Amino acid sequence: MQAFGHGGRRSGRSWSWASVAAAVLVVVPVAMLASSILRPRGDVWSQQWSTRLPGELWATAVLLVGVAVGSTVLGAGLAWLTAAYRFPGSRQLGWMMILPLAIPSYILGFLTLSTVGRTGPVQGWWRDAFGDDAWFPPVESMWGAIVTFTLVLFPYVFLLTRAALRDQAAGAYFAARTLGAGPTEAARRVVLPLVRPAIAAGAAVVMMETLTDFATVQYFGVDTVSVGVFRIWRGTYDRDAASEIATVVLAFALLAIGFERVARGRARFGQSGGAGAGIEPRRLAGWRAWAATATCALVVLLAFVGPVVRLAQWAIAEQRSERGTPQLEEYPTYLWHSVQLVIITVVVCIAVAVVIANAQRFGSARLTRAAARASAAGYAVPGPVVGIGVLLTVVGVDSVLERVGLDLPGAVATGSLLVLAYAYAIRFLAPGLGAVEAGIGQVSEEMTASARTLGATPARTMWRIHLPLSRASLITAAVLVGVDALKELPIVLLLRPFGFDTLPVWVYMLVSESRFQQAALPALSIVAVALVPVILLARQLDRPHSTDTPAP
Amino acid sequence: MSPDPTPATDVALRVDDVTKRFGHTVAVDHVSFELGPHELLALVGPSGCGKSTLLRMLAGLHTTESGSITLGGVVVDDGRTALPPERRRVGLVFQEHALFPHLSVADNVAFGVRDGDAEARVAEMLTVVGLAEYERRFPHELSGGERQRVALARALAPRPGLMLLDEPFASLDPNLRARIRDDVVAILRSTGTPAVFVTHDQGEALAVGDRIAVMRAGRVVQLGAPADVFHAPVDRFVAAFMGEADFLTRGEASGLVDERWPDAGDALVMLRPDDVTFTADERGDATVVAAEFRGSVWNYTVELASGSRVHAIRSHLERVPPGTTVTATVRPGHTPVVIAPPA
Repeated sequence: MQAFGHGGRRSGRSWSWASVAAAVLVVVPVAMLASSILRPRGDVWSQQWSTRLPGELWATAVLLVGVAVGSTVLGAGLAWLTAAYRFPGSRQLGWMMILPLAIPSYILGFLTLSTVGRTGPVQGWWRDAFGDDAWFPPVESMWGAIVTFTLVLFPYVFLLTRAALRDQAAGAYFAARTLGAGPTEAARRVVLPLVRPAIAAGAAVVMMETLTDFATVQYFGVDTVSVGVFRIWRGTYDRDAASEIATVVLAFALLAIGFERVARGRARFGQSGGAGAGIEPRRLAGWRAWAATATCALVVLLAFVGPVVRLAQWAIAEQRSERGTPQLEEYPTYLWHSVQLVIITVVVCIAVAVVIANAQRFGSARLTRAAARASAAGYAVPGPVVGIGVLLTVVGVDSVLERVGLDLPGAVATGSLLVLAYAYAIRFLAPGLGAVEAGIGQVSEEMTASARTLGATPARTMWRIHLPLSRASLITAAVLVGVDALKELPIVLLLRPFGFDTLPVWVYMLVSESRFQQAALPALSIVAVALVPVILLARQLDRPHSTDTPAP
Repeated sequence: MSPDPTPATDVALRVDDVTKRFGHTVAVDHVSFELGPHELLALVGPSGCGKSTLLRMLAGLHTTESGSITLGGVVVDDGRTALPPERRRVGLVFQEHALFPHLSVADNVAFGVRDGDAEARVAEMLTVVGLAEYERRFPHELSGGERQRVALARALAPRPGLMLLDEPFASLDPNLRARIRDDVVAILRSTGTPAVFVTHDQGEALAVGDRIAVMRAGRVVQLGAPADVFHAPVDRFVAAFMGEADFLTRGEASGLVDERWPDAGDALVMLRPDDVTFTADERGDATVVAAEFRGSVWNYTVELASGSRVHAIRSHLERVPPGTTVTATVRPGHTPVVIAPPA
């Protein structure tokens, strides 16, 4: 079967194959990694099993469950609070809830450590007040990691739950109320089941993001399987051993996806009545209102305002000290590395996304849609899996080329810019593809058909019609991909060529040496850039939220 | 199918035994027809009958599964290889016009012009559609009718060998519709462009088509001149689809039967509302049971002696109150037609 807009078998075919090729490039590294489990090396497993692996498995499971529970309680709870009730500042606090998305976990992590950790000011005051032996919950622990990740990642659950409440639950909620259910009963019997799939999806995203990290957890002394992969690879450069442990990371990712499927159950809720209208919020009064305001404000303060103020103070203090100028002189080198990586990633991802999105208009429907889905899957694969998988792939290609007498330039085995860019492209293609597809989707099929019958080839149709009409989405796609690429730490730590240090790597290295104040400037730069897409998102969130005026 | 000996130049379009399936659904089922060099063919049928799919196959937006399509003597699709839409020289106009919103009217019209003086061609085409002063405007600044005419100018500009129109007037205001439709037909005729246009509105098909192809469930069930399709439908489906009609057997028709009634045993016979008339007659065996006002005419429902009902239209000046006893007859000069049972 051909897609509508399919033109001529030959031209359509080249578009189909281009998008299939892109999908293959995304899938092959993961497949290479997964297939390594088919020829396991007994010595690696027995050595790992007798040393770190059992502890890593346990730590990973506890961390994932802890962060998922924390994010669900915080994210879904705050979503319900800000959607169903009105209290002083509820509207502003509602969109401020997603600001923490701008602070990567490796930045909030070191701020947590430096503030409430053993040497931080909070424990200093505590000891001054209650004596040197006074008990304080250990921060450099699993608990510290769980709290940090929860504060960084709960906005994912918040966002998805809010969207579900707005688009799906409102109509059913009103129906339940007219059928005689009180607000609490309606919430429990109708709203909760309806938003459960969204909460499950949010929790799955949170687990994926937690799993992909192996920098933040190291601050807290928590050794997950991802840390295991990093340690093996950067310690011994033993590809086989690293890939064996990376399959364990992949298994955890599959478990998280499986969890989402189970938690969602058989529910498949599309949009139903009352889309965009939202639940009419109830006004809270008295101490309840102030308690609600205080809760929301506290979360924003802990997860966003406090960290940003702290970073700003440190950055300024650092510049005033005698170390300031030398740091400013180093800054451009790190920035340039980051910018290079961002530019390469954005160009590759947007180009591939444009081809995949357009191929769905010009090529075979079934093939191109499957290719698009497969290409987007990289976003759900944890960084260590992508990283090691790309290494295996490039080494494999290299050995094939060597056999035919060609030589890939650069030290493939220990990481090169090519390997790094490849891994980034796999990880960050999905957000770019989503935005580009949405943009092309706004160009009607009739528009495409008109251009084609007026003599335009698929390529000319793309350049003259599709791309100009989806320019805004292309910019959005570039911003989303670029910011993700700028923030990324695990993959670059794993795969960077020697001396290729980006801003996140710089933060990580300074933090590893407990030079927190010096880490503030690069950290603040990252947060500032990461804030751009978050604010764009917040403005979108705010628009249908204006419950004071009736929905259009 | 044996090859047709007619020279290609006499035929703008030949569709030969074309079939298209989507999964298990047969969208277009062994369709064949030809189109003359200046002919307007109206493709009419209920929604989902396959008419739009057929049009898109002609444009090259879908490929055929079997059969062949020949445009101006060139085989563009033979079920194995298909020419892409950009190489078929067909013009396409949609219901939603699909003007390129980021291009001016002039740039829209110039989009398909590849050879010679694009500027002159744009001016010429805009003059043809009566929008000579609109070159610098943008689609969002135009009214629905103006957009329709720009879409037509754009499709005509590359001098297509065949024009395809997909429900081109459906999005227009009913008051505007007839006028724009007449304009479009006049423009197509003045440029001598053969055209296939798809509609679900049988009145539009009757008004515009030189010939009409009625489609149902992927098949062309009747192809002919508008009057033939309307007055001599091949089956009850076509008869009912093309206009209001009552179907009676000889027995049910009772008093209506006279020497013009076809001698076809108990076969169904079609009567359009204009075929029937009646006169008030206290000794008549029929009764007016309902009257529907339609502006210029009244549409009466008349119950015959058999209990069957027929419809009859009369001038708005001839008001007959329901309950009146009448004698119903077939209007002088009209002949009832036998309808074959649905296949």
